[in-house]
Amino acid sequence: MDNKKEDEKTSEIHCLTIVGQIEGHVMLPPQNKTTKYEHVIPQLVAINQNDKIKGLLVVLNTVGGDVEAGLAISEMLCSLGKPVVSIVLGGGHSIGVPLAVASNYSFISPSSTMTLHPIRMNGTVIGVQQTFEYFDKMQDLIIEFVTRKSRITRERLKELILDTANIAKDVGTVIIGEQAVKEGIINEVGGLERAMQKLKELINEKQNSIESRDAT
Amino acid sequence: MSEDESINVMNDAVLKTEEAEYKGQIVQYSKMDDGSNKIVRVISTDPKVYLKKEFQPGKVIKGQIFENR
Repeated sequence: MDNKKEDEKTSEIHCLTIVGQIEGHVMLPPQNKTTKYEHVIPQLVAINQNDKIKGLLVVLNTVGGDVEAGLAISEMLCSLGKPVVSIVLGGGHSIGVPLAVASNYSFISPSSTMTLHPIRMNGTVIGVQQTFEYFDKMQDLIIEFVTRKSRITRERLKELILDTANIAKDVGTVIIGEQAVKEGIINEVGGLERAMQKLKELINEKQNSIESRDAT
Repeated sequence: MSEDESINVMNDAVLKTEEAEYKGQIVQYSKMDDGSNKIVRVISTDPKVYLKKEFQPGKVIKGQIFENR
């Protein structure tokens, strides 16, 4: 009986895995592994609402995907109201960059890669000045988000995004593990154990600050 | 005249999956030919759920997957 009750209690630390492609307004073909934002958003709301859940670990292995859905999830993560630690395992490409930096503290494993490149669009493109301005605005949104949530400067981020000498047949830069830390995008190189340690540290800090605030 | 046999077309090896609530969690499952359902994955942020036997990928659920409330 006691075991059943123990099982039914929710864990104190929850884990959100963002894998494959971020699916936004359009459904992707079934062979794609996807993260659907309409699942993730209610899960994040539930985590915010449940007092038993103290913190969230976000595990990222994504090729990128829908920009708006990715930014929606990123904004939810940085306004969750509880400590969030992210860890990039494998890949954190394209919109994976804002997702990784949205947390309170980010990790990257030594063998992971992140691609920084300009946003791209599928479908019908109208050849007018407004199209370019729209692109520019969306690009700026992402640059602003990443520079706000990390230590990289706007100038350096733009440099990496627009580099033409790094990736074959594309514009941008692939950074590996430690490079992401050196560039100021990610906080620390580390794995699961280190990420959990940090998350527990942040949870304790928050608990202590609540207690001292209540005591005064 | 040769019988027209219905050809079982395997378009590709990709499973078409659906989602439903099963034992309090959201699961992604695929329908098998015999009417049973096979769990592809469970969707949850609670790590404990992933250790439970009833939600392991590949588990076959005979009968209805929806919980009767």
